[in-house]
Amino acid sequence: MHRKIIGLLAGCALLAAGCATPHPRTAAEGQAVFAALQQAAAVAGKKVEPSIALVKIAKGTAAQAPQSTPGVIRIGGSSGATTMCGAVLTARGHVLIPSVIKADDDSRITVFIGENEYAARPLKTDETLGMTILKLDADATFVPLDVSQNADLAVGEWAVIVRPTDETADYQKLSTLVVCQGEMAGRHRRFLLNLSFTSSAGALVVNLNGQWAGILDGGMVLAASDLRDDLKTFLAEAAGAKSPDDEKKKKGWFGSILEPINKEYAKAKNLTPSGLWVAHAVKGGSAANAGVRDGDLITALNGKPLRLSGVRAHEYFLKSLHPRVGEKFSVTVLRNNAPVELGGTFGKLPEQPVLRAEDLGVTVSGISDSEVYTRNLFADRGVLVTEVHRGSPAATSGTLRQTLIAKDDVILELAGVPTANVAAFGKVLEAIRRARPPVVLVKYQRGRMTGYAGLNLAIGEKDHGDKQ
Amino acid sequence: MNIRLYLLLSALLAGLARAQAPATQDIPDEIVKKVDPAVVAIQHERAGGSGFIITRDGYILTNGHVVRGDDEEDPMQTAKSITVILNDEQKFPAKVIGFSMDPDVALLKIEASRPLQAVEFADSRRVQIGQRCFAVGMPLGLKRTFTRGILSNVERTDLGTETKVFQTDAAINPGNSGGPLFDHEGRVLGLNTYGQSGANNLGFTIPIHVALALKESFLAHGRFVRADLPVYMTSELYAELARGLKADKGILVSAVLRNSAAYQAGLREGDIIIETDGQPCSARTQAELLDYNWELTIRKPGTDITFTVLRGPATARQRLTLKAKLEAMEPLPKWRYHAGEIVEHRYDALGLGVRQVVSLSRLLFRLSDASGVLVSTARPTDPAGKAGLKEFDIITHVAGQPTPDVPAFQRALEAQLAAHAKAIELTHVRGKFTLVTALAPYYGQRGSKVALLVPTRDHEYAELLRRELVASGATVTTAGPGAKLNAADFSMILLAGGAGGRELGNDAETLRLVKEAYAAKKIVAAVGPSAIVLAKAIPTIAGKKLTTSKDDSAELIKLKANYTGKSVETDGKLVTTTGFDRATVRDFLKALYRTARDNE
Repeated sequence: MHRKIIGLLAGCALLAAGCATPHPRTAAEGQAVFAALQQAAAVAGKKVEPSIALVKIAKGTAAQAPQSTPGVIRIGGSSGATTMCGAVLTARGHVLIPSVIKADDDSRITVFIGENEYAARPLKTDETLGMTILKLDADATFVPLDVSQNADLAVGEWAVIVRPTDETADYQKLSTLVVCQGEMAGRHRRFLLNLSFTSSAGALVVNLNGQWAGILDGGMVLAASDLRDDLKTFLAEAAGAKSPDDEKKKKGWFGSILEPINKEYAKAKNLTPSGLWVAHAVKGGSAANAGVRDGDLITALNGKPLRLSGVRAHEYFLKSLHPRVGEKFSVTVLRNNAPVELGGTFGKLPEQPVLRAEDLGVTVSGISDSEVYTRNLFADRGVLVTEVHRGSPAATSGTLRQTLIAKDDVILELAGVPTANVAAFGKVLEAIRRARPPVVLVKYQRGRMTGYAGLNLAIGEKDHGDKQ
Repeated sequence: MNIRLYLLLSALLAGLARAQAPATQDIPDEIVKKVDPAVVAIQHERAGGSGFIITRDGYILTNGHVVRGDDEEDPMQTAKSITVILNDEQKFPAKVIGFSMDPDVALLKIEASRPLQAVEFADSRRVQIGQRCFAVGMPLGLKRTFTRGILSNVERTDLGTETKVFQTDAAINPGNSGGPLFDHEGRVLGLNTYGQSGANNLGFTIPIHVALALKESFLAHGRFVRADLPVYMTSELYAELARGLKADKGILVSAVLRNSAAYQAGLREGDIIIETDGQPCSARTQAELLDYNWELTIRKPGTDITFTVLRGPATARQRLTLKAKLEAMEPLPKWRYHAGEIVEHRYDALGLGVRQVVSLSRLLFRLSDASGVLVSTARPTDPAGKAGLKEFDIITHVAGQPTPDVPAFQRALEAQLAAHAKAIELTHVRGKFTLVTALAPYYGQRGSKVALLVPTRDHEYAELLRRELVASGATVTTAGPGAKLNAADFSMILLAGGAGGRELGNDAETLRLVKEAYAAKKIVAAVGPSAIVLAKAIPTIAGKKLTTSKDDSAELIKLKANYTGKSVETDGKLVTTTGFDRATVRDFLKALYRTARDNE
């Protein structure tokens, strides 16, 4: 109670200072301001009211429906049921809840929207977000939350927490006026509130204009603007139920190797500590095609400055990237101390051809520019050994734990013929298969050194298992 | 007649008795007596092992790993206090003439008052599998232990050693290291070196001819100087490779570093060396290749070498003669059994250590051609780690200055440190990437003004002390004896170590400076023998706790100081150390910083 009053006063002071509201000189004036504020909160709350759901999850099918106390929403009731808030995302009845419930979970899920009660089943979970999308078993049409109408909370700004109602309470009693007291950085920012909410997970938070500001989670508000894109993808995945392979095909490729800027360096040079160096823009990658060069410092993505620092900045960038083939992106880079805006379209990661040469005992792939850099290869023509088969000619050197050919070797020549790529390698291999020589000479590059190996093709011919 | 028969029977029985002796004693008494006095125990501050006397004037062979120190920065440092114990329990301090970790051989010298019994050598090039042998040594510190067996293998190559080693089933345990393996006549076949943990009766022995070759190099240079033609690699022509190359004999050149001396001499990858200096050469097995390489390695640097090679496809092979000159091999990096020969240039205060980059490092660690210094220490919790530096990064620039070698790196870095730069810009190359970062030193000693007094000769750790103080933000004035310094200008007077430290005790200016500084409540510190200066200069030294090197302790006691013998000693504003090794000096610096902090 005491904290509430302090919060209120602080809020009033801010209203007076920041929002140009006339400073109440008397108690009556103060009351009027407060009444106006409550009115505004009520109106703001109304906008999201139809999209709020009360979700009760009873473990196992035998569990009884939980007792609910009006005005109090508790997590983990005495009956073993869990109650939380949810948000309706589609007219067809997809509801988002801030909890991970697997599709094979046998919990009984009941969702209350307005005065109606629906059974629901978990459709898709996102463990990174810690959220699940439920599908209601109903033909009705629902009012989805307008995720496009969202706004960040500024420090000192009033907001309203809107929690769902059940048959014994109405939402107005469950709306709480709060003040934003700070912002916590992260991949998903969180706004800190003047009041502590240990329960009511999933409650919606709106600003006084009724714009969605976020979801209550862990006592703080998960910023709507950071969630929006993730939710769209999440929902598309849940509703569309595409196969992971389809997703992979659609996944775009930025094509750069990034290194977070050192904090001290950034400070000394007056650069953003969230910047990412382009250690290498991979040839043919979307970044290189957009004009990104080695040594550029990426400072913003799609118009938004990067956040966090060090490894987390890198993580933030990757998560914010959402590369999808054909989608456009823009990056701001610092080049020669001047910002440069670059725009491009995500392309697809080129797939390297792979060949499994059973007779030699190696699996090889083409060499991409990316691999030359990440694996520190000293040859860009040849085929990269990605696997050496156990018990094969390539593996058997006569000394235990030593193979003739090793992973990450680049095969340069086979039987004296250059093998610049997988196709060429395949051709020579075909010729070898036809000629069936007892021994094949392999020239390879290992690190900075070349080497030669004579592979005895009789080894492992009968393939007695895969033990060396 | 009867008498004759009796004599005959007596002679026969006596002969039988003699013949029976070896049956009950695998190593006959005369052999034991012959070898026993030549085998010695070796002890030092960290561990010990075995060894054997090779000359009557006290040269002793043992393993390199038995006498090596544990100085991370300087892998060539030996243990500091080595004692040789003869079989009659006489003890002698020993000096290391030279040592190598692969081949694992060290040569020691003791000064005995009498001629010693030395071993005889067998020809370890002519040995046979199954030949009887016995080992003598101090397994687990148990003196004079004889174990016997056979040579189980005489061409062991798969341990990754630079030469072939013998394998024996004579029990070889820790402590046997450096001890001799004798043939049945008590002649040395080799130095026992490695035991295989988790196995039974698997011991390894370095052939004595290898050890004797190293002995010559140690006597001549103090270390093992290898002859080399940088840089090419060879491979033996094992059956399949020979067949694949359609070459029966020779040695395959598998790689040649571009623009190296080997390349300039005309060697190319794929060449098959068939003659060396006109003599046919070939290696079909790894053992033969190691023998061939070893024979080149122990040649004298500067000598000429001629290769005859075959080049080109089997159908059109050219025969070429190539001439080259062998060089002394660059210092070795740490690799396999090699502890390395390159000293680290370390700033403990920054958690950063760098080493010179050698060609072999570039090959072994897949480094780029970038010109710079190689990061060998980057502690994660210190500025180097926080700057994101990692082992095997090559630092190419410091604050925009190129750092092609350690002196250039030191100059560029220390200029920044002296200016107390908040962030020192570094450019480093990691694999194929060039990165920039900044080092943010803590400067914990900022404000400290240190007079570092260095004897004109035989000084120790002066550079280490200066470097660490500068990296900690202190302002260091280095001076020698006779320098007219004013105590009021400094917060700390520091005397470097080494035998030359005693010289400072006869220098009036140093004595005056120390006396004045101590009277003015400044910190006065000394490394090793220079503690004597403190005892001489400070009138109120009686009863003050000090420490110094063992040799100087008596002098300290004579001067009425309270000699405690601790490796680092602090008494009020007095900080001293034995200066035993680099680690002790680093501990001493910590004590010095603590005292400075308490002083504030």
